[in-house]
Amino acid sequence: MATTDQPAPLVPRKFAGQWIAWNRDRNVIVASGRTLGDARRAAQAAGESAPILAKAPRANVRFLGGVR
Amino acid sequence: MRFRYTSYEVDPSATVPSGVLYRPEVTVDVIGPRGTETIQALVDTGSDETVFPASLAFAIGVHLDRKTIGQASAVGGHVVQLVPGNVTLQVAQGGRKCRWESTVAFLEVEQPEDEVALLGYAGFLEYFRATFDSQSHELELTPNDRFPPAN
Repeated sequence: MATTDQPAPLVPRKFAGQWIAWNRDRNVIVASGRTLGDARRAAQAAGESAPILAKAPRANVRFLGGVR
Repeated sequence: MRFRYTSYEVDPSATVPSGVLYRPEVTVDVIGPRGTETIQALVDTGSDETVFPASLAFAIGVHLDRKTIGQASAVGGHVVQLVPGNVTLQVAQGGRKCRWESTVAFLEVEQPEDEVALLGYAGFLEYFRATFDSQSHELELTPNDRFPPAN
C-alpha cells in the first residue's frame, strides 16, 4: 500500500496569481513574489534556503490547459 | 507514489461555487549543472510538453538550445516560444525516489504572470502510469516500462 504525502494547507486567495514559496515540509508559505525568482529570493531572505516554489492560480481567471 | 492535490482559494464562480480549486501537483527537483530548484508543478495530461519558466534554467545553469526553439499554443491559440534544455528530474515520496534525465521545454514569456510549471507528456507523464482520484484528491504515479534505466 503506497503512502501518501501530507496535505498542504489551503493556499489563501491573497496569493492568487503569484509564485509562492513553501518551507520544505510544505506546511507554511514563507514568501511569495511576482516571478519565480522573486519568490525564491524572498524565501531565502526569510531564512528558507531551499524553498518549494509553486505558481498559485489566478483568483478570477481559470486555467484551461498547457502548451500543445 | 501518491500525492495529495493542492487546494487554492479563488473567487467563487458558477462552476466552482466553493471557491476552492484542487490541483494535482507534484513536487519535483529540477537539477542542472549549477544547482537544483524544487518546484511544485501541475500534472497536466493536456500538455504535450513538460514546461518550466526560462528563469529557472538560468538559475540552475541549464544551457538553452536556441537553435531548436519550438512553438506551442495553449487553448485559444496564443503562440508561445519554447526552448529545449536538458535537466535531471527527481520525484520522491514515501521513501521511494525516481530520478531520470530529460529534455524539457523552457518557456519565455513577456509577462511574469504567464510563467507556468507543467508536467506534461514529453519528459514526465510518458514514464508513469497516472491515476487521478478526484474524490480523495490524490494522484498516484507508478513508473512504467518506459521509465529510463538508471545510469
